[in-house]
Amino acid sequence: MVVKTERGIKSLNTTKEVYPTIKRYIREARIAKQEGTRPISWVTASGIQEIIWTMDNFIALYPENFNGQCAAKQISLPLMEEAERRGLSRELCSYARNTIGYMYGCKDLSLPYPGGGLLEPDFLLLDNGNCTSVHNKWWRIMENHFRVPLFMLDIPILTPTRMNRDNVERHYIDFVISQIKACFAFLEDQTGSRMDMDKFKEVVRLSDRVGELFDQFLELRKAKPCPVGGEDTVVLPAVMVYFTGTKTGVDFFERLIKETEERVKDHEGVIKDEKYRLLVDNIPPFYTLGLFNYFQKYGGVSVAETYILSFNYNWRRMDADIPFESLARKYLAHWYTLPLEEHVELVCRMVEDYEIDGVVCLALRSCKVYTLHQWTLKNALEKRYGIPTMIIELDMVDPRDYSDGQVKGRIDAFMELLDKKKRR
Amino acid sequence: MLKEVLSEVRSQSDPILSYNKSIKDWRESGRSVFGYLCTNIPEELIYAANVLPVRLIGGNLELYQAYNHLPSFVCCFTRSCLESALNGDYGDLDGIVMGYGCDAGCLLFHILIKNMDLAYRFFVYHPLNTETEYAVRFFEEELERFKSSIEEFIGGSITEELIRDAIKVYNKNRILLKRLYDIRGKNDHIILTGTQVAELVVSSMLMEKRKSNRLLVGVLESVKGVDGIHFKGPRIHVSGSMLSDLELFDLIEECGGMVVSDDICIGSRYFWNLVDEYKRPVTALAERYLRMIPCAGMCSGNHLNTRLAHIKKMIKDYKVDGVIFSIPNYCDPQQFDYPFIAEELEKEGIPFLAIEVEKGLNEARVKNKLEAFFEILGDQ
Repeated sequence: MVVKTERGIKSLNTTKEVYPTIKRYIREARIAKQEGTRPISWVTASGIQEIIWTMDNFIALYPENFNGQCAAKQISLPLMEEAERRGLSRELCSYARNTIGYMYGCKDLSLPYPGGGLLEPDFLLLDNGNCTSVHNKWWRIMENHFRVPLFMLDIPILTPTRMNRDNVERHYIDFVISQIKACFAFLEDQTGSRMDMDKFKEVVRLSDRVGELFDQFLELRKAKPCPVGGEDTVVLPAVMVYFTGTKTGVDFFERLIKETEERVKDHEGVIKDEKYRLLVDNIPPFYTLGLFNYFQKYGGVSVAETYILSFNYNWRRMDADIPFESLARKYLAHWYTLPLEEHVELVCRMVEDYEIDGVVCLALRSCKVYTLHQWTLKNALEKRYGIPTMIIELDMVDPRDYSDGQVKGRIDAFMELLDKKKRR
Repeated sequence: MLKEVLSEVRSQSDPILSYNKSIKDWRESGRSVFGYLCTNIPEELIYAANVLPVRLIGGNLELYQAYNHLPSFVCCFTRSCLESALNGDYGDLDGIVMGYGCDAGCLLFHILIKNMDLAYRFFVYHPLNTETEYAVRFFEEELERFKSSIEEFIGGSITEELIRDAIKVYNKNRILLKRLYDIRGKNDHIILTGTQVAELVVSSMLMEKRKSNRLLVGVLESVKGVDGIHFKGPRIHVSGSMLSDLELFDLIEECGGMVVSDDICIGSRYFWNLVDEYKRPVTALAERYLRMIPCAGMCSGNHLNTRLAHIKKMIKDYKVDGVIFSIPNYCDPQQFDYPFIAEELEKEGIPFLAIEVEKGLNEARVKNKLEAFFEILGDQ
């Protein structure tokens, strides 16, 4: 089954660098595996890059990124069907089904896998910070299959009524610090080399710099017209996942800001006549990223996306001199797993800051943790601002949950509604 | 006599909380009631504060208001609990307590506290990687916070002695329920049916524990010396998590089977593990609730093996012929665990059947499946 799909058309040159950079990274991983110089680990894309780059003696591969690429190449379906044949329900996370299907059936299916395929792991790293319940299950299934060591960072959610990101109870921070230390010990065992405290601090400093630059970039997007739309920004999480904590990451975001600043200075928007500023909530459908461009037909631009925030720590700056404490606070602050009230408040603030006209919530049936808040959000937005909010059901990877005609029909009606509202 | 005791139990423990007599009686003496949402909440701390903990189990309700807050793709337990709250059934509750078990449950707590007028709300994070030392330390501290917040609510202190007493009462309840399981499962004769025992477990969550203990002793007295009826049909283990009612148990019996054991949240998972009465009480509670028979939401390295070992032990002790998995639609944890536990059972030659659970089982379809399954069991 092939769905009607459209590639995203980007405005910036910097964002076009992302895939070639990742391709290079994967190529180097392949060479390292062949030469046996560095072990391979499959890592959750939850943001523990500081630990990875501090050790820097193994190669981290990210199944989630691989899944997005499989979807873009339209090869997800046979992989997911393989997982379903093995008993996994179709209702489960499509990312997990994609990777697990690949794990079981990659050789037999022989598809044109991105990067030539995911190299088999020597060990697994699991952090459930931005996906509290599913990452665990998914990684344990891989542990069971590959029979390789796994380390799990169990990151609590900030419990409602008691905490927010400025007020985290001490035992939460201590719990995460204990696990970061245990993770380093695990990696020392796996790789045979010692963790270097000075390097750790430097990586935390670079990680924080990436966060700072990312915040500056978000500020620039508040300009009218908006200089960069969602069709460009959806690739940024890949940079955050692979290169947070490195100079490569810092350099990339500096270039991104420079190019964006020039556009703001020249009043160059994503489209010539920006009429509606949209906020898009949730992971985009990777098999048809051109959906972002579709809004442009009506003068709509996606000026803010919650998805890209989930990979960035943009709450408080980190102090590289107390790296364990800083990281623990970062790992506890994943914003998709924040208490519902705080989450809704943050989106409301974005609506005000970016002067949003309409909100599009992508309801992912297979990703409950990122989706279930949307009904509360919709009620809050409509009540507080009277902002039209549309919930569209689709999936980030599974094309069977996407109907191009239906989705676009709903967008057409939504944009008409925005138009009527504006003219009133 | 059994009939009378069971009827007394039923009159005390209505799952529709606004009709629940135990709650009414308790409140009449000016005491508070907390509803809790997951088996991983140490009720002993609530009970020690002279507050009545009752389990929220939802039910087979028509949904009118829940869809304003939730999509269709969350489990029927979550949806029905929310509907119960919005239609006023939880009006007698002073507080709600939740422990992390899954994302849908977590969201349910958020929506409940946003939409209900409650004097007390508390969320406990229950570590998922339950076997590490730092998880125990963390959970102990989490329970200390829980205790302090209840103390603040009642305006008094919960002494170590009070917690010890509560643990004793709760352990007694666990031992009594285990005895009922043995009477049901270790005999070839039916003295207590699968549904009767399951109803007694649920009732113990919906009434004051000392009262529950008295009634359970009454049940045990009433079946002393009873021979029961010889049962030749298939003996069933029900595996899963939360069920909002016992419809599945009824259907199994209607089709000629009998539930003799289970690992569900309103069954053995609730009472199987005792709390160590000799340790510091909060430490003992932290260890018990972290290391209890894990639900599918948990995820330590030994999670599946621990679950499987419990199921296999029950199969052996209670002479089980086949396993029925009750899997709620849209339940991520159950759906992830199922294929791996099923595969292990298959390796051991243990027959099993999966039933999808939705609000109100599709009776004809489920019966059809059960009958076919029981036929296969009969042939073996």
